[in-house]
Amino acid sequence: MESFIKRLFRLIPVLLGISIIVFLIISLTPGDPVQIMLGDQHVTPEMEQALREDMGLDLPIHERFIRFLYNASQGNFGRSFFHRRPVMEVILERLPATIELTFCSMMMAILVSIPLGVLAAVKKGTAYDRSSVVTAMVGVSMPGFWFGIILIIFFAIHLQWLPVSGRSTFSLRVPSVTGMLLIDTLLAGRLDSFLDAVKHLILPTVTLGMAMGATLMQVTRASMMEVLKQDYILFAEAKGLKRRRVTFLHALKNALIPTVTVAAIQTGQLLGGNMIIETVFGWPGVGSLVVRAIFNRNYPLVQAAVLIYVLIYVLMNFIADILYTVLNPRVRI
Amino acid sequence: MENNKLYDQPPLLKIEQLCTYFDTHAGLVRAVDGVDIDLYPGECLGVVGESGSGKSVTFLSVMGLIKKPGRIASGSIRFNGTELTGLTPRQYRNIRGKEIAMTLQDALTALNPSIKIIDQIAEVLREHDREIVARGKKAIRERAVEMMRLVGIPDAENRLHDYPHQFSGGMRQRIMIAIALSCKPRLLIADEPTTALDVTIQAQVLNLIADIREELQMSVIIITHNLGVVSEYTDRTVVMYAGQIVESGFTRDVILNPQHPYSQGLLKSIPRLSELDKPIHPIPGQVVDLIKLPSHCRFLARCSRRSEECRQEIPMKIIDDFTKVRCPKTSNQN
Repeated sequence: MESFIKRLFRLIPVLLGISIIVFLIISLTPGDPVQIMLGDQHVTPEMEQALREDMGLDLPIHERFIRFLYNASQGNFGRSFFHRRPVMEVILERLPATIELTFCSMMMAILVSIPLGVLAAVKKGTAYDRSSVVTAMVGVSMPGFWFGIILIIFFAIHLQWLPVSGRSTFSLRVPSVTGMLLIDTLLAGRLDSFLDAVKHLILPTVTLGMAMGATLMQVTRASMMEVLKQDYILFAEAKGLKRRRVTFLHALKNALIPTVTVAAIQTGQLLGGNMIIETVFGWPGVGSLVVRAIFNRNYPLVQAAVLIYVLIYVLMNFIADILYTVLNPRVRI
Repeated sequence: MENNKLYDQPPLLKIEQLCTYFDTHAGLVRAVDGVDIDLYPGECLGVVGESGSGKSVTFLSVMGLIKKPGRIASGSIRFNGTELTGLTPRQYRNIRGKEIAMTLQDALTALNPSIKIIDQIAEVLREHDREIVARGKKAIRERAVEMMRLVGIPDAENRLHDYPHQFSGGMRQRIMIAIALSCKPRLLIADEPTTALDVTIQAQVLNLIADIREELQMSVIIITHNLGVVSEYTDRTVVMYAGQIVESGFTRDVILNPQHPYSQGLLKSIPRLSELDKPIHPIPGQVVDLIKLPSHCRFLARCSRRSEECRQEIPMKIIDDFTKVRCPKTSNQN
C-alpha cells in the first residue's frame, strides 16, 4: 500500500512537466496564435481582441502559465471557438465512443491472442506455430488504415453485411445515459438498436484488435516459450500433474506477466491515439475530434485533448505497474 | 555386506540397456548409451559423473520426462514389475509424483515463483491421493503442514501461504523435498540435492533425506558429482562416463578401492585437508564429444594407463554380483 501511494505521488512531476509542454504549444507557436486560429475567416478587430482576451493571451507569460495550471486543474481548458462551448464538454461527450471501441478491441485482442500464443508456444516448431508467427507478423506490420479500408470495401461495400461508418443508424438512436451505445441500448430495452450498435462496432474493433492482438500474441508466445523451459515446469511435470494444469496454471501464470503489462500500455496508447482508425470509420470519438481540431487550428481543444491523452496514458502505465505487482509476488513489498 | 538383506528381494527399479538419444542439427547425441542399473527396495544408490555423463538424462528417462528432440531409443525400464517405456501419458502420471518422485538441483528455480507453497503441495495430493481428497480441504491442509514439519520447516502452519522467494535457500530445498514426498513415494530421485546449497546446509539436507528414507521405507537415488556425498549416504555407487556406466559396486569399495581409472581420477581430484601441501590432480583433457563417440574405450584419451588393448570395444567386466568395471586393467593400483 505504501509503495502504491509512493507510485501515485511519482506521477505528479510527470503531469506537471506535461502541462508545461502543453502550455507551450500555444505560447511558442511562431506568429500570433489568434491570427493562426482565425486563419482566413473575416472577423472584426473587436472579435479578434475578444478571442485574445478569452485565451488570456494579453497577459504576461508567467501569469498565463499560472492561470493555465489553475484552470486546467479545474478541468477548464477554455472554450472551443468552433463549437462555442467549453472544450472539456466537447471532449467528454466524445470520450465514451472512444472508450467503447478501445474496450471492445482490447477484449477481442486478449481473448484471441492469449490462447493462440499459448498454443503456438506449446506446439513450438510445428506448422501451426510457424503459420501463427507469420500471421502475427502480418498483423503487426499491416497499416491499420489500409486494413480498415480493405475491410470496409469487402464487408460493407461489396457484401453489404456491415455499415460503412459511424456508430449507429439515425433512426435507431436511443437516449444517451452512459454514452456507451452497447449499454445505453440495453438500458433502453431496444434489441434492434443494440444489434445496430454491434454491427457498427465490428469492423473498427477488428481493425484495432488485429494489430493489438498480433503484438499480444507474439509477447505471449515468446514469454510462454521462455517459461516452458524453466525448471519449475519440469518439476510440475515430475509431480505427475495433468498437462492442462502445467500449461495453464504453472506456465501461463508466469508467462502472463509481460503480456498484461503490454496490454495495459497498449490500451493507454489506443485511448489516446486511434485518430487514424476513428477517421477511417467515421467513428465519433475523441480521435476524430482532435484530427478535425488540428485542421481547424482549434488550439484550446488540442491542448485539452493532449493533456487528457497523457493523463490516460500515465494512468494506464500506472495500472500496468499495479497489475505487474499483483501477478508477480516477487516484486510485492 | 552389512545390508545383504536388502538384496534378497527383486529389484524395485530395473534399467536394462537403456539408450536415450537426442536428434540435434549437429548430429545424434548419444547421451545415455546402454545403461543397466538395479535398485533394490529400501536401498540408497549414488550415481556419480561429471556434467554430460548422462546421469540426469538416465533418470529423466525413468520419469518419462525426456522432451523432443530427445527419445528413448531402446532398452527397458521396469519399476516394481511394470514396464515404464511405452506407458501412455495418463498411466505415467499415476507413477510420477506418486510412486517415483524427483527433486531438482535448485529449489529456487524448481518451485513455481508465483504459486503459494500450500497450493504447490496440495496439487500433488489432489492429483494422486483420492483418499485425502475425499476427506476434504482441511485434511489436505493438515497433510501439507505435516509434510512441512517432517522436513523441518519451523512455524509451518503460518507459512503455508508464503511464496517460495520468502524462504531461505535451505528451507526452499526442504520444501521441494516435502512436495516430492507428499504422496509417500517408493522411490525418490534426488538430482544434485546439494549443489545449489551452502556447505553448512548440505549435510542438513542429506541427513534429512536419510531420515525420511528410513521413516517412509523408500529407496533413494542421489545423482551427484560430489563423491563426498556418495561416500557418506549411499549403499551402492554407480560411476558414469560419456553415457555409459564405467564402474558400479558397493560404495565402500568404490571409494576405498576404485577399479576404473576414471573413478580413481575422480577421487584424486578431491582436495583433502590432510594433504593440503600436495597439489590436487585434475583429470586431464575433456569429456568426449557425445556425437562422435569412439568405438574404443571412451575414456582412452584421458587415461594414464591406456595401451593397445584399450583400442577396441570394452565390455563390462563382472567381478561379482554387484561389482562391475568397464576396463580391461582391473588390477589395483592404489
